[in-house]
Amino acid sequence: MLDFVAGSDRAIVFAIYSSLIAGSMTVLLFLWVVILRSRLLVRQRRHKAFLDKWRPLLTQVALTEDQTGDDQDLVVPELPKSSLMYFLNEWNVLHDVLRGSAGLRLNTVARQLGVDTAVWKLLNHGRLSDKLIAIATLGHLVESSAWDRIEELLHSHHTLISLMAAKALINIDADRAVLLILPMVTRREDWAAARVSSLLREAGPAATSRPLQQAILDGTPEEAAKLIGFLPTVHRSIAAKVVHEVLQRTVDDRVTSVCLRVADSPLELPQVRHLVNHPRWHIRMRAASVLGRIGYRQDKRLLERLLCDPEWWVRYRAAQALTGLPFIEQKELDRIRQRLDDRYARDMMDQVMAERAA
Amino acid sequence: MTTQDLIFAAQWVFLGYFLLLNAGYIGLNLVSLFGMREYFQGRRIESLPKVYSEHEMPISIIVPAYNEAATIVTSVRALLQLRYPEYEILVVNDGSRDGTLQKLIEEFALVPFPEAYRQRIATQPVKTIYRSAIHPNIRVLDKDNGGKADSLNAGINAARYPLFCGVDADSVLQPDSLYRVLQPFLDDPDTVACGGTIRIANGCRVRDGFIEKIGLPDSTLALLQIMEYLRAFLFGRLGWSPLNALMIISGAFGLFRKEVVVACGGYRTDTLGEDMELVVRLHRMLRKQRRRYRITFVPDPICWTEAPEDLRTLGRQRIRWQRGLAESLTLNQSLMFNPRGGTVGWLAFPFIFLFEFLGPLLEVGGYLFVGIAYWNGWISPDAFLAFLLCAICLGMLLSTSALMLEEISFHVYPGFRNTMLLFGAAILENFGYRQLNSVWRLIGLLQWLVGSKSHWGEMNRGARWSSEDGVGDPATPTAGHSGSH
Repeated sequence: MLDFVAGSDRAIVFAIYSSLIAGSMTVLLFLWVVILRSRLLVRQRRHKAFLDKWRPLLTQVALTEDQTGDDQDLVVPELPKSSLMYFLNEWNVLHDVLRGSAGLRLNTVARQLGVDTAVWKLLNHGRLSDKLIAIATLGHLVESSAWDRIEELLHSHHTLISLMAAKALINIDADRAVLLILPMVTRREDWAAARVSSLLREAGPAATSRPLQQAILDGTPEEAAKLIGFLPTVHRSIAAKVVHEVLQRTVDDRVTSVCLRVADSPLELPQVRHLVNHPRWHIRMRAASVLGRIGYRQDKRLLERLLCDPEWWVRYRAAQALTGLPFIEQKELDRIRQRLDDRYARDMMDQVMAERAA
Repeated sequence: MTTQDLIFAAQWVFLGYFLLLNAGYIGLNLVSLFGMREYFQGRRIESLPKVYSEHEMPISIIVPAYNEAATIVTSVRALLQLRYPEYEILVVNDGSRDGTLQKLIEEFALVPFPEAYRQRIATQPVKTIYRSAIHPNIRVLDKDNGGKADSLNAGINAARYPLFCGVDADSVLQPDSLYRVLQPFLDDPDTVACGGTIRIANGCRVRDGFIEKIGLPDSTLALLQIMEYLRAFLFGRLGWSPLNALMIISGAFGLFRKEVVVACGGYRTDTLGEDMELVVRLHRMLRKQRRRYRITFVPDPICWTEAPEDLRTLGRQRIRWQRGLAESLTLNQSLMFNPRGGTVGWLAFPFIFLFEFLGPLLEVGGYLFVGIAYWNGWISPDAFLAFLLCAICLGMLLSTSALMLEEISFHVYPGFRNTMLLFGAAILENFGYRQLNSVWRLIGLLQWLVGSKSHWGEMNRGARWSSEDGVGDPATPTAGHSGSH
């Protein structure tokens, strides 16, 4: 047997120490897991007790119109400090699904419970999640005194904080908030289009229409391309006017493409008819869709031509547009299909006609 | 160099390797911990309604099906109940011989549909395309057999929507799975792919294709796999995701931007790990093109899958996975240490190459060395025990840290009893199971090395969710396409 070399003693010692450290850490982690689980069970019990008591109460407050109109008479039990976060979550969710006087009654309850002052502490000293809920609460409470502080947070580098601040500002004063938010939409790459769209919808067309129109018309092509996507959130007449103006003057393909996505006014027809010959396929595809929405009888020929386009999507949208035209009957569609020499165009018509039939 | 010197050096190599491996994973664990914290704080805002509206991109769900007659109808029915505004379901029948297509035709009133099918990615011939007369968003592609990757490619060709989601026919999804996995695409337009956490459905009660009650399985083997999945997903993937270095999105459920995948050539049909290979190739191609992109991961448990409960099936699965991993890495080896490789090329790829690809060789080698050295009296019993103890304790630490991550995040398994059982599994898996896994993976590596032909093995599936009470025949053999990493 070879003697155990002196050097490998060190390896054994190293292995044993590593084992001891790993073993101890395992035990500590396990204890932590047990503590976490115990705390979770306690939290779950507390949350259930809170919901049993407060959910019916808050729902009743929100949904029951006070006949006397005197909201000061609302009697609510005391809110323990430990239940503040549960209350804020429940209260904010209700606020987001309800509108009008229900929101006012919820605010009265919150003020009676002293939530309006408690959230300031969360806003200034809380963790990220506390801050988010505090911003949302101040917004729902329409707390004008919080405007400056929330405006500060609108410029936060943290995406969620800035978005939540934008939402709160809209709740407090939509007209004023939109003027602050719109210039940021083009600058903040971290603000997802879906979220901005939600914000603008929440602000409402009255607050959004004019500032958005101005921002699109005054903006660079990049800014316009980004902002045009939000036109469905504004008044239709204004959206149509903006699209018309931009389509007339733009030379940027991206801007044209986004405009076509939202265009639905017959004013655009001459321009759209011209765009079916565009070298870029996605513009031809969108032009075909627009013709399907607003086209006249004479546009059938253009759509028939697009059915023979080399790009699958252009053929598909052209076929959809053609079969969707309100003045075309099945017999005419059959005739068009018969007339087609191009096999791909015929296949596409077959597919879309079968889709329609289904 | 004397034998003693060799033994001395070997001891340090294996010990160093084990320590490095575990230190690496603990590091990933810490990244996951921060990632998870951020994610959960952000979820506070997500829990409020109306965060998204009307901007959800439509999704094509592609379900490759090969001899899935036992489960396919329930799976498609469950998919129909997903909460999402606009999606289509494309079942790709890959030349099944067990009446899968007939079941679908009868159940969903399928009729042949004259689709202008365009083959953007080459596949085996598509014979017929059907469309449901009851549910207009269901289409079935009946094609010649070509394997799972080929079926996915055919599905991509037929997909109408900009995002596609590959789903295994036996996957059980959460009703809000699509919403969850879509979020990174909404938040960052550069996102090209996103995966989610896969959990094990054994022990859960499944009704109408959805998880009704979460529980742990009676089978020890399935329980051990639950711990493995926790480790793999909660820090294996969540750790790499914030670094944009995620190298695998499970084929059981993953959402991809269709055009990017088409531009990359779709799934490779000559590999067993087509899910991992695609993601690694996406990294390689997009980095080469210097494109801004994100491949990301949401930790929510969005998909549940059945784990094998017998050693034979499990062994075959693990051998296949290891071969898939080896193929994925070697086919994209130019990513490693590539000047444009970024975190994935300089950190994730070498890490996975060293600890996942070479891992089984070094692990089995380490155990063998210690065993042989002890047997021959080259090392003392103290040394033998010390090395074994070290490997086992480090393994336990890793598993327990995964359990801790689960506890601070989703704590999916309710009650103290389940926590105790999982901790038991975290300890137990280090006594034989992990070593057995290393042996299977070594076999996979050797099979890849000698280049034996790739093929999908049979999967013994209980098809439990096809029965009303969630308790089916525990060993209904089907030969599905599933079995993703």
